[in-house]
Amino acid sequence: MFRAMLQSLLAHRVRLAMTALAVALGTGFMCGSFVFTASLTHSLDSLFGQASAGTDVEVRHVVPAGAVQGAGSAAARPIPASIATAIRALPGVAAADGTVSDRAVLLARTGKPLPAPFVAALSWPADAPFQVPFTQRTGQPPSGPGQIMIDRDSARAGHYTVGDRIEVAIGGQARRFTITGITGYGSAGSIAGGSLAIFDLRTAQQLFGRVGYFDTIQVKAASGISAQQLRDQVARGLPPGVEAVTAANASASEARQLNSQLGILTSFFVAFAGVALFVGAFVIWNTFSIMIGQRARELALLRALGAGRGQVFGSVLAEAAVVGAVAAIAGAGLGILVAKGLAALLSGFGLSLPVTGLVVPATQVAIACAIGLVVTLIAGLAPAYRASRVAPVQALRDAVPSSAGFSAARLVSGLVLTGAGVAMLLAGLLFGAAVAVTAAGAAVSFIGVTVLGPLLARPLAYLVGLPLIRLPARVGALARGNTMRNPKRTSATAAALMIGLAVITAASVLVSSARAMIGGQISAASKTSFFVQATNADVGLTPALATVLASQPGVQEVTGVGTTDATVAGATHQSVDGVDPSRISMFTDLGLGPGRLASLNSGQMLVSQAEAAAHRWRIGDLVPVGFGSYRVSRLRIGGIFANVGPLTGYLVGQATFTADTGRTADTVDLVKAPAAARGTLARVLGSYPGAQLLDQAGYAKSRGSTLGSLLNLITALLVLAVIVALLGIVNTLALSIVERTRELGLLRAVGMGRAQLAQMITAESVIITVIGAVLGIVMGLGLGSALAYAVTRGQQATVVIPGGQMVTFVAAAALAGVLASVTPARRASRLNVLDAIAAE
Amino acid sequence: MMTATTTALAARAENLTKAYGTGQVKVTALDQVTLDIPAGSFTAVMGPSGSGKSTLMHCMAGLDSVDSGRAWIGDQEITTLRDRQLTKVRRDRVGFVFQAYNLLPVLTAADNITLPLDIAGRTADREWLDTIIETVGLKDRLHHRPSELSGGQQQRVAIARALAGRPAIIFADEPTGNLDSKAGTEVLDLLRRSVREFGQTIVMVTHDPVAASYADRVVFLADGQVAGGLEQPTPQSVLDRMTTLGSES
Repeated sequence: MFRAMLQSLLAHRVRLAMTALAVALGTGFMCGSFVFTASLTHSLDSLFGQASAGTDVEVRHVVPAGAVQGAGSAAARPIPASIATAIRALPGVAAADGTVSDRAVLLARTGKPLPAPFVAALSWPADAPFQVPFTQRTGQPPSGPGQIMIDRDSARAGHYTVGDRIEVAIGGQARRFTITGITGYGSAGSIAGGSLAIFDLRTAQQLFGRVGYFDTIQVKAASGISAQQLRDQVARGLPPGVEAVTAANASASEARQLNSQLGILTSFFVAFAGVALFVGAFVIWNTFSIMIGQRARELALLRALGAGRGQVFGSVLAEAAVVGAVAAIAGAGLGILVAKGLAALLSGFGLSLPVTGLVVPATQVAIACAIGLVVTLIAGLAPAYRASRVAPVQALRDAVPSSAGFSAARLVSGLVLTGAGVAMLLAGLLFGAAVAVTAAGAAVSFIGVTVLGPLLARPLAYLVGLPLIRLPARVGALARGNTMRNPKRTSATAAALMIGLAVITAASVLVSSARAMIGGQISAASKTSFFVQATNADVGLTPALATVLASQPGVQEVTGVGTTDATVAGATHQSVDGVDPSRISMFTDLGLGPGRLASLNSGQMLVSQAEAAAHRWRIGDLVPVGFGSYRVSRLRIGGIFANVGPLTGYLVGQATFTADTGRTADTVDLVKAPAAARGTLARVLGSYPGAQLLDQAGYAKSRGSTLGSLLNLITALLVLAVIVALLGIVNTLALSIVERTRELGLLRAVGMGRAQLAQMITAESVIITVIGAVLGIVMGLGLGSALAYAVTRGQQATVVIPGGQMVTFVAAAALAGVLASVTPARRASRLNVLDAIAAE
Repeated sequence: MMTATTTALAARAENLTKAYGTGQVKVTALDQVTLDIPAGSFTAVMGPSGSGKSTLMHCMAGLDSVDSGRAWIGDQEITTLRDRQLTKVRRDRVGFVFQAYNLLPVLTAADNITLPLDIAGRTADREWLDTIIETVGLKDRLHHRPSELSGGQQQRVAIARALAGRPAIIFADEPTGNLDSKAGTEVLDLLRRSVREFGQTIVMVTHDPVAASYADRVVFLADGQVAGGLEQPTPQSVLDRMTTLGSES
């Protein structure tokens, strides 16, 4: 029995390899996600370890509990320099150095920033123990204003050597320095790929506004004193709000915090891997179903010769197990490639993460492989069951093709499932049911549509095939007939593609709606003509730039706005703007309802109507706002405004902003000036490479660009699911060609050319992919509209359907259909006419 | 010596030789076979299993290549043609009727009949088509799919398809092999009427003496060689000849 199974596996090895690949891709993606995050964690751990080499204890300002870091969020508060002097005098202290750290962008000779995942600026530690991490140095450390040391990787990327002049953007403004030294970091050329700008202490303090202050103080113990003893010793003398931690603890807690954020990334990737596996399961199920159908006679013969139902069932399931095992092993191998690919993919979408070296987490990879195997087995269950139902007598009869006619049971169950799924989805999106209900709703409606699929396949194939009917030699009509003759198979093949496209479509509806909403808000309320925006939100713009811009001829008004990432009433990653209360209404019409703008002067906060409604806030309420690692404040609501315009949902005064974030840099300068002033502004900004000049439309686009990158990333990740679906199409076509050998032979005998035969197969493929695309787009539009409505209704319910993109999707699906058919079509056209006619 | 341009011939084979395999397992399917098929004739090719009759048909119809020798359809030599030109010859000048699985299941009877014309991009001669459909007696089944037709009806559709393009020659490979005797008789009648009424040339491969008796003449094949012929055959005369062939081999 199992010898027969093995032989059948070998006989179909190409087909099974394709099937295995369909699962291997999903499994590989899942493994890859795990390998990627494990590698990232490892890289970060070793990075923190290297950074603390040579240091025993760190002294820094207390970080508020639950501080969450985000783009542009505040770093911990600086501490007075006098503390360092006091520590140095303590017994058991060998050395203590204060350092300043901030951000600075190294520029290439072209004036463009050197690419780097993050841009660190540091002060050079005076004492040798703290210089340990800075390895492979050439030249001299910086020792005065105008001097800089940069990292080896940046020097290589920018072709800089010691003695060269380099421009560095600080607060968006370009400044010139002389490179006195170049350094590596630990065993690498820089800190995990980030760039390093190292100044001497006094210069750093002046550049970054820390005169008389340090960000951290590093302490080295005298010999015979442990880090813990030293910490206790140092901690005793510290003023309130300042803490001492051992270097080991400090790096461990930083690593912990980062890991919790990376957990989100892992879940994100694993979700997409799940989609790919779901699609892979479809492909397996479909491929096995077709092969069982084709082998009915063979199976019946086995049964006639005395094989039991269980044996037949077992042998098919064993085939699935072999495929699943091969797929799982291949997936684990693929995972390593995927991990590398993911790092590249993320940096391609503007999220560069330092990954040095690959770590393979055995348990997680094993789990991913097991999932791949189990998915394959589950997908093989139904075909195996059907195989076990083949009656022995079928060995003696001609195969009767099952005609899937109309089935009322199918219609009812499909409609009920789809309806239930949609209801759950809407309940989740619009009436606040749990996220799990929403996700389950989406999955159930997919299954519902899949159940309806065979009923939809015939009419859809008829319609989709219409434009092909005119193809010469009846190629189109034949292709359409072929896709209509087995609606179950066609719909199962198309369903695999449908899933990926539905999610892509939903995401693009959501993103275009959100973008349209942002654009609408900015143009509706804004009286601002130009926006000078910081290209790097972490670095920001020097406040001096606003003054420089204001002094330009033709410019009427300029005001700087700072934006920071904050945690508002427990909600992480909210944006809070610091504005000048006396000037902001010249740039945007806030539509202040209850409350006064002047309340900002007394440290109160304005909230948008949408946020107020969502949180049921009223004037006078106190709201906790966490500003990065700097502090947590309780801000009183002084007013509620209607129009967000170019700003965000939370506004504080500039004084409050600086006091709560420690930041003086602006994120964007709003400029009122006639359009003719554009040239002047652009000229001034020539020496501010960290600033970009945008008009209203450009600013709206830039505000939506994060969403755009996210959409691209989601699309790129879903391409995998689409590839898996295409493998399924290749399989279905290849199997159907085997099935139709005689037919194809007949066509060739009565005069159809090779090219025409290939065209017919291609047309079949295109019909299937377009059906999948149409079904997916229809589902995606429904899902996306509901999502968009749910997300935007708090502010201004906006649902935008990107028609152009939908057309592109259908065209891409058709093209993918052509690609998927290349091999099967070639195979069909190469059939030997005589063999085909003679084939049994 | 006869030349290939003789217009009275619908097809001709000259010293056709074809072998399968090499060395010890070499099987000579055709050995110097020469055969003329006059236009408007109904020829049956008979012989025991392995006599090479199917191979001869395939080679003469441009479905298979030969090792040596030449074959013509009308005045077109086909043994020198490449696949593309051969396809065109089959499409425009040859009709086929096979034993079974002869029709495309996705097309209606009517569409199956016009398939070779559609492939060629030729428009069907309406009057001629009506005549054929009348002759094969399928007027009321035209919009049925093959799965809704009986075996005999399917085979009659296949004959109509072969006739539709007015080919120089129709090759029929065991056309009654899968049919019961009543349906078989109808099909054979139809083939004979095509020759008589339309002047269609037909070559039929068969091992059934009754089927062969419908032809104008029978050509016997044994061990890849022509082993005689029989004009105006009857079932009994064919059977007698077959028996002798069997005892010789």
